[in-house]
Amino acid sequence: MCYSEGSLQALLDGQVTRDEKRRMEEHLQTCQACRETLKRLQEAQEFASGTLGAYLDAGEDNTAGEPAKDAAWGRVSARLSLDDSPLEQRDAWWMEVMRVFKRSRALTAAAATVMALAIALSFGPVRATASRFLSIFRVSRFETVNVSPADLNRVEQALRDGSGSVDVGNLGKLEVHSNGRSGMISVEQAKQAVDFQVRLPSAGPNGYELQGVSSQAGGTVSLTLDVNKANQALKSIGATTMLPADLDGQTFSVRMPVVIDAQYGSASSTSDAIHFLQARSPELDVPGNSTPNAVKDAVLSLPFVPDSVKKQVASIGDWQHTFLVPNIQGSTQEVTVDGSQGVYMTAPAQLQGQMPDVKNALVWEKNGVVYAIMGTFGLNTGLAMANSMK
Amino acid sequence: MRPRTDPETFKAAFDRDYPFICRLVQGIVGDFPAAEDVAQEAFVRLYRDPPSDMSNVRGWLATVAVNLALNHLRSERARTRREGEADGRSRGTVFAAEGASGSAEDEFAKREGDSITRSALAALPERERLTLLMRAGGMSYKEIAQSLKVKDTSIGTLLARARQAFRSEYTRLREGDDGVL
Repeated sequence: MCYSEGSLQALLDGQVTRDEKRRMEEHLQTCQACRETLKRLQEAQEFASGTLGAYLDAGEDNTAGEPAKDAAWGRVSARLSLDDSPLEQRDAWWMEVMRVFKRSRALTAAAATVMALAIALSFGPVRATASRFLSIFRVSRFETVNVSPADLNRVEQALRDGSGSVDVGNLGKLEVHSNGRSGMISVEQAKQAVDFQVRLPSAGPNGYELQGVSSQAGGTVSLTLDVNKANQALKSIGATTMLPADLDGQTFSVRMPVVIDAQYGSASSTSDAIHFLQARSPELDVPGNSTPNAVKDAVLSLPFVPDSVKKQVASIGDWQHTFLVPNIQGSTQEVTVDGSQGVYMTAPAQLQGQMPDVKNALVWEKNGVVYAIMGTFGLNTGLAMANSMK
Repeated sequence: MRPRTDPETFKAAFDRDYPFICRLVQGIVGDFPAAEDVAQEAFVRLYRDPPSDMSNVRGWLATVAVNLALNHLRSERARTRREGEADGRSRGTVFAAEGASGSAEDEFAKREGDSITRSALAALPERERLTLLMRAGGMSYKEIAQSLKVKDTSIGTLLARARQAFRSEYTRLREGDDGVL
């Protein structure tokens, strides 16, 4: 009986047992046809291995030569420098979040809705004395909330099932006003554009220089709530506690500040730029009375909000001044930076290629100004850059 | 703390094997930036969770990188399907285009050879291309079978077909080029 091409190929590749090899060699001695097949396979193999081997080994000489390898080494070592910190399991929460958000386009509208509610939720038990006035939300603290990928999957599933009817526009009347202008400006203009002192780093990665400064216009986004519509939307994503009727016609507004963005990079490459952002905190105005608690109760009643998250959220005392940062599998850590408390977030190298905006970030607040450094850098480098800002 | 790869060994492995792994992965995922991301992830894993046997680091990296690349490819395809894009181009087609656009200022002949290699690989049916690349990356039949979720016994057949097809495609492309020039 003759052997198949596949078996003869396995013989050539040394992927058969000793017994099989002996039997095959015996057969080959007497079989002209199999010898010819073997010869043909061997020639093709030598050609393919030689050509492919040379091609794969020549990697350093192609268009992605030594400079690309250096940049790659920089990225890999930046990721590994995180390993020196006590947090072990660090499998990229950005990855999970982006995966969830990429999965469904309809989700975006639902996500925006939930985000809006989540912001409202984040200043739940506002002091009773303030209830007759507008409560103003200012960021002065950052806290992380642990979320697992399984939690995210549940949220995603729930939102996808109900997302057809959910849209920010369905919640009421949305108005947007902007002020300031966006675009490239000089350092001097940047200093004029904001009411705080603009600070720039004096230490950065080797060869990095200031490439330019830009400003992003600020503005106000107001949502005047239509309670009937909002409750329908809530119902469609599984909520059991509805918003009270007296919220109808109340206006929530977010004031977005002018943001100054100083971009640093090396002269040869713009792909690894590091951005230094600074701005006054966004401010959120909510109508008085029982609003925050009512919104909080409605959101917490959503069946897919994981219990562990509810508990963590409930344990945060200073609602009005705390910005919640999701922490998935320990990829976000609280750090002391620039003499204040802040948060360091890591992104996987995989995403950095696909989505240029998703990078590592160090975020903190000091003297009423929110700072963020975004780019590809390890924690120690980030802290050094932050501490050098003047 | 788990044992980590000694930093010097790690740097040496990176210098030696990073370009190789990038090209190997590019053969699977298509575009070079995605290949770099996958290759970097493989090195991060080498550092954090090294194999107990460090005698064949390249083979270990190739196996890890190929599996990451296959996952990447599967999730990309699943995403494309979900988004309902009518345009059903496979990554293999992108790969061919990438290969053809490589610049060639010096070492023209060698680069031309690279470009023919890329085009010949891209012309193979996907399963054959993957098998060929994995074997070139030093993976055993068993490892290849596990990665591709096929039987061990079908690898020989796939490889035999892939190598013969690669050879005839490469020859055809080279002669085609000579005819034009």
